[in-house]
Amino acid sequence: MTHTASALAADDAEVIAASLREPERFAEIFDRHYDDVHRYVDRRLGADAADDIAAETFLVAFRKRAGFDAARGSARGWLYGIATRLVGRHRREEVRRYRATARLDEPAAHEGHADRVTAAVAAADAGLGPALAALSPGDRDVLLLVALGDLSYPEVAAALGVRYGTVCSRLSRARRTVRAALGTDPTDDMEHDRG
Amino acid sequence: MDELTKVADHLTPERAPSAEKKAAARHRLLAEAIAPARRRSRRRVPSRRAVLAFGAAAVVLGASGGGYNAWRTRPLYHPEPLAGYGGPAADFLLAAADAKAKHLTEGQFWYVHDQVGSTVQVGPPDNRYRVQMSQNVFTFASKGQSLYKTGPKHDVPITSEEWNDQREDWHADPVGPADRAARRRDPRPVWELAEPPGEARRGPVKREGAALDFGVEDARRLPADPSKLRAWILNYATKFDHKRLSDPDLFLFTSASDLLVDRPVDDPVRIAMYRLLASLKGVSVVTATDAAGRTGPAVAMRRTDPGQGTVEWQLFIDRATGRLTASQGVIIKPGTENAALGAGTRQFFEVVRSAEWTNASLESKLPDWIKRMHQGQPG
Repeated sequence: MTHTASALAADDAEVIAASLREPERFAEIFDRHYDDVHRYVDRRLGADAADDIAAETFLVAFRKRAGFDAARGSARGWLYGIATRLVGRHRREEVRRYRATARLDEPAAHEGHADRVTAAVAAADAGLGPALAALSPGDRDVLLLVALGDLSYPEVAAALGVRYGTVCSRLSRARRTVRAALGTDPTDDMEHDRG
Repeated sequence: MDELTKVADHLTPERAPSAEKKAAARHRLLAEAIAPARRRSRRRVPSRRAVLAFGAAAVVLGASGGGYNAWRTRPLYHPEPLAGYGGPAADFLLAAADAKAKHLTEGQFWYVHDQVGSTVQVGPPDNRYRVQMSQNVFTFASKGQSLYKTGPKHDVPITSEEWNDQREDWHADPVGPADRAARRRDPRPVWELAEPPGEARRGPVKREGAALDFGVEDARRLPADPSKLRAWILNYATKFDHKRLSDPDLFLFTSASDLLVDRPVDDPVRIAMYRLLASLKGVSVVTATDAAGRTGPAVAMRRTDPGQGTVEWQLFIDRATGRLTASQGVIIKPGTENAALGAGTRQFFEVVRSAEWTNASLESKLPDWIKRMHQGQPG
């Protein structure tokens, strides 16, 4: 059986509502979203931490399911919001990790033109880790929910419990920082916003 | 390739979730899901006598009407005639109410441009100094309809928006000459010093009562009668912990700016707020200077506690139009938590550049960088 996105979204709200009477139905939410949540946390904190945090995300979600806003439809943004708060308990590890990726990305010696181009790209990308580490936690959460979770701005706002305008402000700040780290003009118009 | 894609490419996952860990996580979830049912099934069957006693008690409680929860969460404040204090402060505030009544604003949208900030001590250990960190905050709210006619689609209409400055536009103003000299010795850009508050702080004095952060729906229902407004505000402030406030007048005074500036209430509600403020005890008229450097009369109220010492909360009102133009909390005598800032320091402040009902479009009121943010939003 195939699901369209909207049918699946409607199903999430229905399943969560049903799980208030039949708690074991919540396992369907787990089956649908566990891999995505794990992948998101893995990319921020690594796979081992993701094992624990993804599991805890669904326990927290289960305990708070009565507060799930059925108007949201899909539980995806809601779960990402919970996972993001849990990631927040590991800020130091996350920042250390970004700084470590910068060291790994440092370019090696190069000889030919192709090597130099590759090295230049690698050098620019090497700035990403420190840039991510330097972001304020709130700005980083917004940036990574958009970039990794592929959430829209309204979904990010709902996931983090902040205003839509706050998401815009935080994302703008974060993107400028990242653009500066990549060596592009941070004041350039942002052409690829995701709404 | 845009920077979001580069970030996504940069942060690759280490591995797919292991089947073993996934199964364990699912097992934990199911164990939690079915645990209460199991616990219920293991309960002892109550004796017939216990059942009868419980049943009798339930009948008594039920007959008492409304139930315990309804009693516990009942409104704590009711409309009462306002106290009739006189004096210069009451006269000032009643004049502000009259002026506001003559300068009503109308429009579809409530627009606020605020500069909000706080004073903080920054710098390395051998070069500490004080700066007023501030930024602009723009708020746009409707009376209930969506702010976007053709913009992003949302399940729930967006009726209120707020934007803060980019960090490059933050302000860090040294407080005094010594602070200015120390700032010159500190090469860091403004955004590395400290983050300014993202919204106007209602001062260090708010130690009880919920923030008046209600949404558009509530704002549209607020009564324009001062005594009813007083009860409504105090009931909102206590709806979460259901404890009466130790100093309701102080709460009303320090929260006044929420209604006078931030929330999209009609102007008659603002007029009622001025009349309500005129009934409070302990309000005086002072001459002070706001964060924009303008000196003039303000109404003020003081609060003392060990942590923040004595702080005077000041509201600057334009007597000609009845518009709140600034508010601030000035340290009169520092406490243990703000000793480094010193007496006379403006600990929290806002300068209200604009607060009005308007028919102007959202786009026409916003800074260019915010408009650029929206250019890529799908219709």
